[in-house]
Amino acid sequence: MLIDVNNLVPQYMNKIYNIILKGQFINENSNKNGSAQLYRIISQNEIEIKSYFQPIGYTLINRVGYFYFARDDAGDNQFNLEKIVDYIDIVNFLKTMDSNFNVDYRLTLNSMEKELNSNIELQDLASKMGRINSSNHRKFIEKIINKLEKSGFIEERNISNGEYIVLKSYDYIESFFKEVEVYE
Amino acid sequence: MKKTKNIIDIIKVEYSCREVIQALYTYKSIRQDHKNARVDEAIELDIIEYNDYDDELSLSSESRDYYKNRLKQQDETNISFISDKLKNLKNLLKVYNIRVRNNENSDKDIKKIYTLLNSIPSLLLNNIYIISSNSVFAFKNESNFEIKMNNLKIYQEEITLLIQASNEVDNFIKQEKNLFKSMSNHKINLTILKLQRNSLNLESMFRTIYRDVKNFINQSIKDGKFIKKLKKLQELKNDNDLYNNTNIEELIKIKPHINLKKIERKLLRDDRVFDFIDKIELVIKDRDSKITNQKKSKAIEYDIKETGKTKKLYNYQKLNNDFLSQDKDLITFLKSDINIEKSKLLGIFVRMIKNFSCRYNMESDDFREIENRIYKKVLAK
Repeated sequence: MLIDVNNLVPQYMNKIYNIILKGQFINENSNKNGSAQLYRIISQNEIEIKSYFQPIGYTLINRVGYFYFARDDAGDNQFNLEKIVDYIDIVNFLKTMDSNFNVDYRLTLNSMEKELNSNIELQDLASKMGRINSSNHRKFIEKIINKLEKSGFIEERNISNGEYIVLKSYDYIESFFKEVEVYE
Repeated sequence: MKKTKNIIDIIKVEYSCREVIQALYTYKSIRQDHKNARVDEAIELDIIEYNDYDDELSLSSESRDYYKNRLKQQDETNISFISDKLKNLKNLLKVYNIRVRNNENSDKDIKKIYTLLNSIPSLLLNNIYIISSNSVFAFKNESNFEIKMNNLKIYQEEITLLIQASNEVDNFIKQEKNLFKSMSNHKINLTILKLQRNSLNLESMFRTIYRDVKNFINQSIKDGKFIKKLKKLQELKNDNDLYNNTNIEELIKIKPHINLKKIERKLLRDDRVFDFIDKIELVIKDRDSKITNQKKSKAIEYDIKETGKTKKLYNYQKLNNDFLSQDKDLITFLKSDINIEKSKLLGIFVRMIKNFSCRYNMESDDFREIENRIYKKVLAK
């Protein structure tokens, strides 16, 4: 006998579960995969969804403009630590490029490349980012954009001019670094 | 600059070059694109400027300021104009007094006083709008942090100057109130009323804009500190001192984190089933009771179609003994076994852990990627 589990629970649970599996954020300002709609649903059913996924080790976290599921053992994961440490270079690069780089900021590959071509400080930073080693400025910017997009921090908004928007979830990485304490 | 004949000539030249002027208001252009007598004349009248070094045409600064004023698009404040106008007004009032004392006609002076007085309210408002838009622009669009801070501080000073100028206007109106009344000019009276009413609005506007700029500065200071911290973190990272000199490792353990690594769906399928186990149990019980009831009347009907496929059975005990006697991790060991079908790797891996987990060490955080699947590194104890 086959049991269709989709009939036992609300349909959006399946979508949420897929998002958990992919380690994605649910953004209020995203236009893709019904994220904004899901954000609204979660906002309305926060307690129910929280208690639904809690027993399998995922805690729903509500931040300004986005949700994510924290895995109970994610903090022990060396992989997560390395990923976050990797972002020190990227966030520093982006903030040096434009101190206004933040949630809802709009960027294009061309504008970033232009800035990199004309800014010596950025070129110096780029040369020190060993992990994003590239043969030219264009490819370097492409890699940064791909990484941000894969992590769910930016999203392509306009295909015709290659414009990206910084999603609300970008706050996740910045707020983490803001809390880091540097021992003097 | 060529000496002009009259205003009509200037307007004529401006009119004949109107499209070029409109284009140059926004962009610079090269001379080659606009080589004609009308543009030459506009250059002679200093309406348009020509830079022969880079062959560039642009609007002269006087023309640009004129059009900006007409379009109300000024981006520079002119707070000092208010004090200048007040000074001129004081002089005009002196002249007016002398004329009244000598019983001379003072109509022309009253007109001048009115014109000057009437320009003050819009001057105050324009300056407020300019500071407000400039400060928002600096805060949101200036990419260089130092320039942003510098500009915001300038705007903060400008607000203070504007508040002082506004107070000066209020005091002046109070001091000269009787004199203005004596003029018995309804236009002047109306302007004074307008200034008095504006004074209250201006005060609340000043308060709002001052608070906004202060917030912009405070936020920018925070941003600046964050940028400084990022640079420090990067420095520590490059020197391999990040973990020793920061609490980043502790923080990642304390804070709730998203799993940045994608989880293989198949490995976590059980989690989901676990959540529905009670409901599944109920459904199975219900089905069992139905089958028992049906047994008496009918033969059992299977709702699972059995296939003729023969199952290959693995001796898990033997596999386990072999695994324990070598050094490789579980999935590498299973993969190296030629008797195991590749498609069964995941199933056998799960079954081995299920059956013999107490004899395995699964504490490592390492993973092995085989056939597009990520397996946990499992070693023999």
